[in-house]
Amino acid sequence: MAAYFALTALVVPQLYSGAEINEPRPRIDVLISSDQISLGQSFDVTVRSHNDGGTADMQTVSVAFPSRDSLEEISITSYDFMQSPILIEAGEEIGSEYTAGEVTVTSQYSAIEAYSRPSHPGDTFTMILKVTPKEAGPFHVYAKSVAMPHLSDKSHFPDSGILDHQNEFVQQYVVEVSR
Amino acid sequence: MKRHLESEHGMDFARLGIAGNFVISIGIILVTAGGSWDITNHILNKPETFFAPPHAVLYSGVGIALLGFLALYVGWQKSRKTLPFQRGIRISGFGMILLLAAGPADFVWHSNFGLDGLLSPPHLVLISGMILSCVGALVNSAKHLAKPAHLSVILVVTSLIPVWFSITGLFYSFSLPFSETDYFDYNPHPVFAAVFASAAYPFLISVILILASALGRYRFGMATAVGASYLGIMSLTAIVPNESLVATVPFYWLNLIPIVFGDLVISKVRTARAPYVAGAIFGSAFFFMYYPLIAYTYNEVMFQKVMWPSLTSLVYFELVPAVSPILACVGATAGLFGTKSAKFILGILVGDKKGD
Repeated sequence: MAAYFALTALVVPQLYSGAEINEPRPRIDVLISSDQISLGQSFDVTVRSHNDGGTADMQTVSVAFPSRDSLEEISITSYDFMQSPILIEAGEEIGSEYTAGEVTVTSQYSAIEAYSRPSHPGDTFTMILKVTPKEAGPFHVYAKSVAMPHLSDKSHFPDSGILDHQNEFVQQYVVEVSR
Repeated sequence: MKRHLESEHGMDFARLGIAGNFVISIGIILVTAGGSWDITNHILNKPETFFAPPHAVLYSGVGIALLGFLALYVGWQKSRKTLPFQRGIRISGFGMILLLAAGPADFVWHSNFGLDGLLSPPHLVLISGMILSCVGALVNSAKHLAKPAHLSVILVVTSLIPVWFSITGLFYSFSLPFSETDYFDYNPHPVFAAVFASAAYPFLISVILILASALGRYRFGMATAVGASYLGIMSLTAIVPNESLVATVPFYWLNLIPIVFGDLVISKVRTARAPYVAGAIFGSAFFFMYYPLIAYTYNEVMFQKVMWPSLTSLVYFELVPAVSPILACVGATAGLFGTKSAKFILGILVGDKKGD
């Protein structure tokens, strides 16, 4: 029994604790169907996620609309992520700083969060949104992807640029809506 | 009249009853293995539908257990109740009613509240049904095993494994933080969960393995066979489905050492203290035998880290040096009480005539 406890409590934990973790590396391709539309017309946002690293327990793709409080102008036309999307409107409690909900903030604008549990190396998932703006002017779209567990800067995409309301980096796209 | 009566058609109804009792245990093993797989599936994949593969295994097990119960009941009735199974049939029958009620209740719960937690009203009904069904089968098996010619390692294993897993399912409900959903928060308080786990799991391990040895007339190998079956099912349903834990399977199988050692003590040392020593040995290993899920329980009171499936083993092995020495002592103490209780339960199972 002494040998058993020595192995299980001392030797083996050290062996396994030193094992390397193959960190997930999320990436997204974003395609906006048109960068200029007239009021009443629609445009599509196609977001394809990739994982270029190790298996992620969860990979999220977030598409946010910083000039909109609600999602009434947006609809999901295609979706093949493994879990149902989370629809977020302004004023909701959401996770921030890549902490998976340990640190939370109140959302300042609307977003759609797609996610897959798990996301294996080479997996791709696609979400297509149809946006029909009701107001003229620039329509901003933020996009990002985060892998969990979040271990370093490689666990999120992009890794620099604009910070959103969750204090996380995003890519920004703008569509001009004319009258 | 001979116990093994044959009808005019040549059918041995006593054998049918005994086979039915065996099939109940097989069915509940499937139910519990499906349940263990389902917990792992929820951790890994967050399924959003009732129609998931682990649920298919689980409810197939319910169907098999129901068929077994029908065979048991018909065999017992047609053999003119010569089998000493009356008490076991009553217990199993009540368990079957609960199992059958749990399916629709679980479906309705999923339909109304989406993803459910580990502890929910329909799950409690399901677990209660599992426990009663296989305890009834164990009561019958104990009567059968009490006959000198009927000693069978397979019967000992199939009778005790479902009891072990179904009671473990109940204990999981009160010690794992998997019961918070959008609608309800049934998570146990972290301190309660840790204290409960520290007492309940080693107690259960000791009861089951001491009973295994006793029902097997203290022959070496009986407790080992039950323990190895437990390790095998846990490996297949709680470790292997999580690819990041596959490398830890050899670590998990080190738990065969205290099981074999305890089995040796109880089978080879013929003193009144031997079962207690064996029970303490079995109980002392509980923190390792309940890997990996037990990491979630103690993480809540020690580290409060966000647990991701791929980090489970890292958190667990961080916990080991911090908690395992004290938990080995606590587990050994709970194992002593488990031995005392196993002796009491054995007296009920084979020591009186009320069930005959």
